[in-house]
Amino acid sequence: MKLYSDSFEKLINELSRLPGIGPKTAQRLAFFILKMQKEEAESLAFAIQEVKNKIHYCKVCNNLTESDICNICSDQNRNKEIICVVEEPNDLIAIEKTRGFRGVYHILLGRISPMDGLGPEDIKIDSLVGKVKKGGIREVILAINPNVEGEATALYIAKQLKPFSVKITRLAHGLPMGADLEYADEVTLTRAMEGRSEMFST
Amino acid sequence: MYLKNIILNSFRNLGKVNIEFGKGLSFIIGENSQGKSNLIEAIYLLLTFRSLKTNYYEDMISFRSDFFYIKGLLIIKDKNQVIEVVGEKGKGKRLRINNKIQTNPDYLGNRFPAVIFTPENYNIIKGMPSHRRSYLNFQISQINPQYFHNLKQYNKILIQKNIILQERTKNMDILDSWDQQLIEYGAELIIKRDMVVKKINSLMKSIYKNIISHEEIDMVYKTFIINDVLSDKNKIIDIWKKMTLKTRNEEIKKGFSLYGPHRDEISFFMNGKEVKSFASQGQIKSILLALNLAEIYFVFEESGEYPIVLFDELFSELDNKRIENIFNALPKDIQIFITEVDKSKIKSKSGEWFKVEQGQVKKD
Ligand SMILES: Nc1ncnc2c1ncn2[C@@H]1O[C@H](COP(=O)(O)OP(=O)(O)OP(=O)(O)O)[C@@H](O)[C@H]1O
Ligand SMILES: [Mg+2]
Ligand SMILES: [Zn+2]
Repeated sequence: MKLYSDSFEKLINELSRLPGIGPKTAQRLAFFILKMQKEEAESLAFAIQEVKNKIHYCKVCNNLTESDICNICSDQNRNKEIICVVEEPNDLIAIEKTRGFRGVYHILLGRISPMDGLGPEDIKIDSLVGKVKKGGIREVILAINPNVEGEATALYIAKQLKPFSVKITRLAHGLPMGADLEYADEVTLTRAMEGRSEMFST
Repeated sequence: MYLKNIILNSFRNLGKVNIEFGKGLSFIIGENSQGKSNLIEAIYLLLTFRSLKTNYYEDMISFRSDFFYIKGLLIIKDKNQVIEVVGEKGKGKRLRINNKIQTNPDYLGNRFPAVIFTPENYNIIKGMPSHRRSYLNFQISQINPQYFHNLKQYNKILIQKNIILQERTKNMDILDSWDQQLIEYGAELIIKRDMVVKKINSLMKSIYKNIISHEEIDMVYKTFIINDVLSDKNKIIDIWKKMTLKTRNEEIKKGFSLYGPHRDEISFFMNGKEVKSFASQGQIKSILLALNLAEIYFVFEESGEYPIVLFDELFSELDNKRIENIFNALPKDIQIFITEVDKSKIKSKSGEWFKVEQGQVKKD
């Protein structure tokens, strides 16, 4: 016996693909959507369509943007000689909230983790090396999460950048090992930024 | 520290249990398969959140139930601590301390140390090397949370590195990033293991000699780096780095990490001969009990508290003289639980008595 009509079943299935949503929650959400005003439901559907159509990755730093180049990269007042490397757009937002950083970013869109099938080729390391090779970069700050995968990523990047005359720094250990940048509070993050240390002392 | 009260529900064959214990000795008496060992297991789980055998927690739920519940009232330095452990079918086991759910319950560091003897302990001498490593990891983690953290990081790094070795990706450059971390954390583990084995060994040696028998007993830590540099982190890292570079191709060919504390061993010797291959049952048991006594004093030296001691099947295989000596070597202000089938074997005048019968526990 079939419990729901095809279209309703389809909605439940789609919703349960979202992270953190099990079948029961998906069912509840589906019922909620069913009871919504038609205009409200359409506005939700439209919003989903619109982000997919309009938002993409910045050509320079991989940040989320609606234009070719994101707000930060196109800001004349940001110091393009300092690049802060983060794993995900969320990490960029966490650092921007501290308002203490005036350089630009490079987002890796991931981190090295063999058990998740992610090697150096699978994240945006090559384009970072390319930028540094081209010149005009004074410092690269590795603001990668302080867990073993983040550390492996940072060590690998540092090694790739070593041949070029660029200062490479790592966020200070104000951040507890195993913590996520995204969840660090602003004071801790500001301190970690200020106390960053050079990876190779020359 | 002592366990004042325990409440059980549906833990293995034990039904509803609610008993008060004294500060000192408690004898748990009962015929075979009445639930004595199960009671010991429940107390151990309450204190350490670990299961005794490598059992899956669902095995501890009574056949007639779909959950078990353990609640204990511990008195530590005159303060009450309420610990609860719940296991539910399909939902895992959870730990609550003073009404607060513990989000990282595996983390036992310095909480409620326990020393235990069960027939499982024979594995420390006779079992696989992995038994001895996990014995050592437990002893150190109990008194040193940092060690436990380092161990978890090390294991994660090892898994990640081994995946690269097995997949033989084109880009072997990335191995450096994992090796550097493996060596950093691994060196910390080696230093701690060496130190703790030496401490426990010196306690165990003298305890054995003084109270059990004249033989010379030794517990020896074996790792892949020569013994005389084990207290020097920089030297360990130096040697290990060189080995890693030399053996990289071999590791890639074999597909796993050849060197590191994940392959460590400890060995037991009696008068210079390996215990595993020649000692008698009674000798092995005596060594294991000397080891237990050493653990008690080790925990005290490191944390300032005596652990709670659990002895399951203490009396079998030992002559009366040895039993008496062991009793006399136990510290005075310490809570001890001892199971026994035959009441007449126990000569002790002090202590409280409990009877276990068909899953019921009553004060005798
Ligand atoms: N999950 C479970 N549910 C119900 N009974 C169980 C469960 N697990 C084990 N038992 C039973 O509990 C009984 C008591 O076991 P226990 O090992 O505590 O006995 P014991 O009193 O220590 O006996 P012995 O003197 O032989 O060591 C056994 O018969 C065992 O089959
Ligand atoms: Mg038993
Ligand atoms: Zn950008």
